[in-house]
Amino acid sequence: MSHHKLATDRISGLPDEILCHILSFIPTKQAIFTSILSKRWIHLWRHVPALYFINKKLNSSQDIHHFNQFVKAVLHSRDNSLSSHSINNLAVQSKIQYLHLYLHARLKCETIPPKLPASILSCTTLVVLKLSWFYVDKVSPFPLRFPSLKTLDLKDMNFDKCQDFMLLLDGCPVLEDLQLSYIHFIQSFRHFDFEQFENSSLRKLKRAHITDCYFHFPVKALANVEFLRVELWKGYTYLPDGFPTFHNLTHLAVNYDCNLAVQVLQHCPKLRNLELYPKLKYAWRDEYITKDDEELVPICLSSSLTTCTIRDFVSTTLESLIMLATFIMKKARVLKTMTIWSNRKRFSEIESKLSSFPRASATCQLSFQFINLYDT
Amino acid sequence: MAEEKSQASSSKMLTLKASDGVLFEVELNIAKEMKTVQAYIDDCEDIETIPIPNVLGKHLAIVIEYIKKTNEEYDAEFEKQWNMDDLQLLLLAANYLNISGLQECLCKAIAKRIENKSPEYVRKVFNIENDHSPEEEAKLRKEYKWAFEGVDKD
Repeated sequence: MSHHKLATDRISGLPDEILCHILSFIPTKQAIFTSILSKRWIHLWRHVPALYFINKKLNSSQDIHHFNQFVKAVLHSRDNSLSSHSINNLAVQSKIQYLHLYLHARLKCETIPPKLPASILSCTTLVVLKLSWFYVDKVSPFPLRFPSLKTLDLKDMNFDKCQDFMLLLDGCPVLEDLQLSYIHFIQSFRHFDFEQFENSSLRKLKRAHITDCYFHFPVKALANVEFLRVELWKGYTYLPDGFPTFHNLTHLAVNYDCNLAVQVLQHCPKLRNLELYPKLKYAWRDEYITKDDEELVPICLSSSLTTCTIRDFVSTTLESLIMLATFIMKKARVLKTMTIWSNRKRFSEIESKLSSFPRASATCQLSFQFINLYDT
Repeated sequence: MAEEKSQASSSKMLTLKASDGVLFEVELNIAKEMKTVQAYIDDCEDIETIPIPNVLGKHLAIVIEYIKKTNEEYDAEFEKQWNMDDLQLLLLAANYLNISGLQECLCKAIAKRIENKSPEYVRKVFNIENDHSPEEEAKLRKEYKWAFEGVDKD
């Protein structure tokens, strides 16, 4: 064997699929010039089922145009038999599975996001799609748009109408992982516009992460998730029958500065891990907690919750954090760990109030993590 | 007889013999993570020593340790210990032994080390012989000139 030779080309001993797999982790721009490494490598980049474009310096519409031309050129190069004008066919024909298009405008308030190429929405082979900073105008109803899509990550996206956004979600029947942040709609909408999409449940969805989305996301569609991170905002209208029972939910992260957090717990009968964090900078009030009615205690507190984490915030009053922590410690019968994240200054007061507070669970351990409270 | 065997299988030990003769005794469930070994066992049930002709003892030891310890944290630190030569040999081993988790971890690690490096650097690091003629290379560079920008001067 050639183990003793000093300079051996070992990498060429690997099959094409492995080399393509290595290339799938580097930006497409770089994958392309592996074609000059040697004859073996000329065409490998074309078979990488992932396109990965990152452009962090879009300062002008010219930059955007240049970037679009680059994407078009890549898609075109993967299949020379197509003419350069038929971009709508290119993405589909390229059999792309992983697409990560991340744009980041430096001055977002002054620039308009570029329009998402329609070809992306027809790319039926996609398994992972991550998009950031695009405008999507018309999405047609197409339930099998992305029949294999398992991960969808949308950030800083503008949709023309809320229907366009919901139709996009409707086209992902096997979605497992959904991340949404800063989704906006150009045309105005009413909160019940989303209700018609509640029955299109994302049945296979396991994880959902929804932050900075100021509209009434049809929560019923998330009924099967195991992990949920959601931000409830001040204008949210909570209706008990608007929330489904989260049969599989074991981990919930929600902001507690909105008097919905404890009500949401009513819908999570099997919750094991609860994370509470502040989002908005005002003191939290929840009158619900001052009532001591046993019937109103969420089931998960008495039977399944084992881990609870509460993040302090500099302008939250200590009183509300302590009230929340003591409520949970009082009701959570199988709680093992209660962790408070706070700074050293407030720590001693929190600790003195909590450490001697009676706990419903004999095995409950109280612990502290120190953070700089200016980080939200 | 078959029942006895399956009850004992979780603690049954197997011997793997590396290319340089080094022997490793591993539990059956660890060995089964190597799909190549699993196939070997499926074929000949009573085998006790399995030869691994393509992998040096040094690398087989690392692979076995990986299988025992793999988790998110371990994987993140794992790749930092090895030089490029070892990473490639480990990838060849993981590919031969058909261990998907280790293959994935190593592919990512190798990709990380060549990310944003020039083709010349990549050739050097992998010892790839450039068998393009100067004309062929010039033609490729011209064809993809829009891609040949913004790379570390390395």
